[in-house]
Amino acid sequence: MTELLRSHLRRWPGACTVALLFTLSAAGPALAQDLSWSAFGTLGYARSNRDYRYLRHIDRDGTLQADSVLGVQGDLRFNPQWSATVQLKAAPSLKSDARWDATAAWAFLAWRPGDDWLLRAGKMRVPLYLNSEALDVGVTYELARLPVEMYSIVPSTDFVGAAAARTWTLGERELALDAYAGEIGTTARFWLRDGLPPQISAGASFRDIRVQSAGLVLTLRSGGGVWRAGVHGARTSLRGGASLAVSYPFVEVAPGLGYYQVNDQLPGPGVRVTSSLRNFIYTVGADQALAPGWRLAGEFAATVQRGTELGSDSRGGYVALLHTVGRFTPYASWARLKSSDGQLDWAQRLTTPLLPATLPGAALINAAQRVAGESGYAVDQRTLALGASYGVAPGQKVKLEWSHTRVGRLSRFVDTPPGQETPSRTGITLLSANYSFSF
Amino acid sequence: MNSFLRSLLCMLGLWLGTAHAGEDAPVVVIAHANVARVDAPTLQRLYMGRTIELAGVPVIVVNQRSASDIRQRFLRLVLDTDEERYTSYWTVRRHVGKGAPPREFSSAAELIAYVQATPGAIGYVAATDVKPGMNVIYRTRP
Repeated sequence: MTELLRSHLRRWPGACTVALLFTLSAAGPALAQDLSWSAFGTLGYARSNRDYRYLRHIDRDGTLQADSVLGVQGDLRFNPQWSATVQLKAAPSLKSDARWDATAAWAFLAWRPGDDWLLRAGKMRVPLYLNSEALDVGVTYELARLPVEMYSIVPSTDFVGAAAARTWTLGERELALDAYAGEIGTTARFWLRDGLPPQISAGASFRDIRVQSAGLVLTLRSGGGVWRAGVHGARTSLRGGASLAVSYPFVEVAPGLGYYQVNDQLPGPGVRVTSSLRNFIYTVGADQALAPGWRLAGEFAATVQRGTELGSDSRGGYVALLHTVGRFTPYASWARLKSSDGQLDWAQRLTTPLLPATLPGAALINAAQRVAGESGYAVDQRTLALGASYGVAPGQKVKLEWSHTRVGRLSRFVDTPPGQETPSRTGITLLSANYSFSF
Repeated sequence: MNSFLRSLLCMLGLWLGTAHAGEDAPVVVIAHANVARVDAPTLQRLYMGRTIELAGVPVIVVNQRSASDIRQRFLRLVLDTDEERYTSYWTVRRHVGKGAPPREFSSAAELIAYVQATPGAIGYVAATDVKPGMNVIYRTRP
């Protein structure tokens, strides 16, 4: 029975918490003291100067899919110590490029035994970035799109588990230490230019993964800004128990000619695999007022991969300068994300055909290699963005942004069109316009 | 003409006087009988959600309705902020999962009834709404 309940909570935490909210609010004033609802959303349009897609949806034709989101949050306060929160959001699906899904971003019970402690259990968001928790609420930040070079370093920042926060009030400042542990089943998207028909289709490929994570985050808030540093550990595995490759052996078929054995169906000594990959992620960030109207924000993340030559090992971050004049906040930002040279080498090696097409079986081997190469997290890119937000009214913002992304060796955020080489050493210019609200 | 001007100045004076009195009329913070007197910094922490207890007693702060005159005065005189900054603060705090903003009441009478009936409740009203027997825990200067 307990296992059944746990299973339901894991699969439908939002539905369980909504049911709990209504059950408890219906239980009468003795239990449900205060139920409040809020809604938020962003209608975002973006287009690029390229025919191929960037960030899943953006190309020359323009899209509303890249940045749009709609959500509703319910907070039920039983008394000053106990509360429950559920946040449901509708956004482009993690499992398909063609549809939207409604999911629970938050669904947790909170217990605040005193001023200094906050304990929560349920579905929450890892405080990985400065804007992690309010990521979907566009009115809480000025940038039209939070830099992908920072805000995409993990497949998901959600988790189902427990979190504890201890707060110290230091005069006007507030220092908080957050600790969390949990896991989440999520979906990682890869783009396969050719696939491996008939087993693997070309195009977007969605793989169900499980991420177990735990971490510590220290946040200092003062009137002038927020400073945050964190250390996080994550263990990623494929759902269903499939193994993950850690390295591919080179199989020589003739002097100077060979291929990488990317699966055990291909001839070779065998692929080294593991049941899960381990990452450590170190983050620092700050958003600090410099002078009246001026703010400098920046974040940096180092992702360290253990036990594999593949996967995700990178350094990323951004810096943004913002100047508020009345309701108008123009900004400039510069962001960079680069995987380790070893991972970029693997991605380039595997996406480059090694065997001449005239060789029997070469097409199959080359295609299998390409699929393996495109199933990684290799990125080498930087972005300059210039934009502005305008506060139409309290709780409403309109944002405009021009950005230029320079792809270095390659980028997993770019969908390589059929018949073309992986875009490399090229630029992508984006125009984005958003309307965000919260009430 | 002189009489007209005098009347006009008198009316203007009255209007300015009323406006001035409205802006500076004291804001009185009332509480349930089990809550002791507090100072402005404590009220700031309470209304920002940073404090939820006073001397070990759990407290529940409540607001007047958004954009009401009394709320604007309370935000300015006690919390040293304004509606936009206060709303923005709670928008972020709510959406980082650190709690919802204080409950709002559309009239002073409803707020007073709630505060008097709810242990630990704290609210604020205009000085003219204060009745004998209410537990006044803070008052702005006139």
